Amino acid sequence: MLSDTTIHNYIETIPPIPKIVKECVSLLENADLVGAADKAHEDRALINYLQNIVNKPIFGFRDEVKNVRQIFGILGLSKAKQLIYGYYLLLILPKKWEVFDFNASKFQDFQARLIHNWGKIVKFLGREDSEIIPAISIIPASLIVCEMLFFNINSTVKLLRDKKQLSYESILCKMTDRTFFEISAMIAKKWNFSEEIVELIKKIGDTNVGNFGNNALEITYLRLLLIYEMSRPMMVQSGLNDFFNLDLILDDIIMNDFYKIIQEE
Amino acid sequence: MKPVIKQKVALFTPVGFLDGENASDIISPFDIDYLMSVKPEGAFISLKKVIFFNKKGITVLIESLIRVRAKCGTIVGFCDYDLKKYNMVLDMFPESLNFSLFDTAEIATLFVGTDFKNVKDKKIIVYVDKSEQKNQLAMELYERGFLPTIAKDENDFLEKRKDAEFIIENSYLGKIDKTPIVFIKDNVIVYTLKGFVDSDIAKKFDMIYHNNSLRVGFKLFLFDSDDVSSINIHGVNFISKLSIAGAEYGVLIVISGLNDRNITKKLTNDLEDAGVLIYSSMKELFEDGQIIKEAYESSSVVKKSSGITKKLISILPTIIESSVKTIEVLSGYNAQKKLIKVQELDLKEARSLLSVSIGFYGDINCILILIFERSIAKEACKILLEEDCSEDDVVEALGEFTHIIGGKISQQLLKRGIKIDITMPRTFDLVKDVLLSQKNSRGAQVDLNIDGRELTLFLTR
Repeated sequence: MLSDTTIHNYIETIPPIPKIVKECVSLLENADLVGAADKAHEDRALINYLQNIVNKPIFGFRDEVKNVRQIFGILGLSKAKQLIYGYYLLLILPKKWEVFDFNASKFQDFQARLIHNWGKIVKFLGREDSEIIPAISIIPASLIVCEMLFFNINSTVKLLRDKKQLSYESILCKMTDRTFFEISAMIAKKWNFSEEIVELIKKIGDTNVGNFGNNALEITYLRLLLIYEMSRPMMVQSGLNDFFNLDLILDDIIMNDFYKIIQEE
Repeated sequence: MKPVIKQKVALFTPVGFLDGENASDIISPFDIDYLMSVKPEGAFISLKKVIFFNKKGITVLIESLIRVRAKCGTIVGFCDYDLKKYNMVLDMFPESLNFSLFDTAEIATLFVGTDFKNVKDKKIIVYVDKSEQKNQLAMELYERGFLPTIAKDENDFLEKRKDAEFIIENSYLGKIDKTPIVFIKDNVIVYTLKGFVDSDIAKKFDMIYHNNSLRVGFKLFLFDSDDVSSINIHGVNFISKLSIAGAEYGVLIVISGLNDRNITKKLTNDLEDAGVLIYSSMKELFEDGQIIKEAYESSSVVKKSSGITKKLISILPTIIESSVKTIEVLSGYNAQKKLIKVQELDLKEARSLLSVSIGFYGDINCILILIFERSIAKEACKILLEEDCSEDDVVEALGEFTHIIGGKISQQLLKRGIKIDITMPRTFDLVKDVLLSQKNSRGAQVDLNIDGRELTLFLTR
């Protein structure tokens, strides 16, 4: 059985953000793209990550982009920041996945698609400066948390899922009274994300509709995007289709706009 | 995506978007093979959590299920949708549907599967625009023992729906020709035969379900042949063989609905020679108090004297460890062993207990019984229960809980090269019933302490 202690013990094991990465974020917050690129150069693993993710087909670059200044230059401030936040998750990425048929490469594909499609959505909504933007980078932490927490009780949980149509999120809630978003928010807090972002991450999984303030529309689109990405064949094959238990109240206008945005090149 | 199978109904619950790109991953070839091996009576796709679907996605999914139907006679279709989704599916197939649609998964189980709890008490209202469909839906429910109310018109429907538990408004019966359909009535397993009964019955008959029913103690099996056009020598041989094989368990096979038009005199005699009881109609059987009483009395089968074997003792540590670990994971409590002893089942009758038994068969044949103090039963399987659950829900969840433990034991034994299957769990409300079922049987009794309360495991042959 999972307990609150298991969760706290897990959060304890999460490493802090490396100094270079912190400085890189700080430079990006001051809109210093060149300075941030030069700082990123000091961390070999960070460069590898940036080159890897930015050359995924979803970003649509014809030629391979290698230079970090070039990468940041093409992506712009907002996406560069999201990518660096996405890199944080590499610090907690499991070496071997047991609960899901997943791996580091598939995880980065998922991250890349979220960041890219989210970029198109916030542009459409005209909210490129919203505090909710970086939240997208930390959400995939939910998958990692699930993998780590259920690793030791995987076979029992699988038998439970075979008997009852319970999502991992429902099982977690029944065992600990917490959602994956709340645990992701705990990780975000540990990594010193702002209070606003921590609160927003929690709210994405909140089932109390209508309590999202100024970010209501963004949260609706963000949930829709998560469900859309979880429906892709790779995620269905990996056993992640019913991972999130998000209730959506949608109208045709939002659905049509969503499709239009996603299909745009 | 593996379906959840309950009461012989398989349910897929995809989430999000459903299109031609991902549909073949939602029901993969592996899932189709799995369904063909378990032969469910119904297989449905829930659209509850689907927020978008197109014709390509729907077609790929239903074609996969139709392959299962072609082989196993499974009733297939969609369920759990709102009016908008229902109309979308109807619009996608304007000519005619060759699959079924049910308002909810619960409503689907009224038409398919083996959930026959309180059939007569269920408040069901049927109101469908097309009168042909309305009648068909109502007829099917009557045949399965329910007493639905049929709304005459919209006003009547609006008036009566307030009191209904099940509102059948946007459902559609597609091709239903499964033979034999199975259900349980008054502790009698009823197989409904339709059309021509020939050598095909052996292919379509769910032998695993039948054998499991024998193991858990059912004693009366009825083949209802009211809708049979003709039964030939192969059909008769099949039923005769079941009757002869069932004699070992003290089982009675009954057939009803035979007449001069659907069977010859000689074949009727053959059935009688094989010990098959013949009744003119199902009604006549259920009015025969003597035989129905027998069906009830035998539900706790007293076994011949039996003891525990060396082989069972050798797997006892695996069974205890798997059971204890699963109980700990699902309940959140630590379990401490108090006693392990080979003896007859020893329980204090006065205690308020709930018991569940599950059978293992294959390389090893045995029965595991779990006996919970009533106060801990609900807490132990809380993960399977909603907040506002009834006593019946707790008993059902306890069955599922035990099935999960059985699954875990089966996995662990497989690692040791021992291949076993598990039967459906059977629950006992009264201590005396479980004691009676194990009279003269010695087994390994393990008493556990869970949060100050007792849980007993009993492993026997």
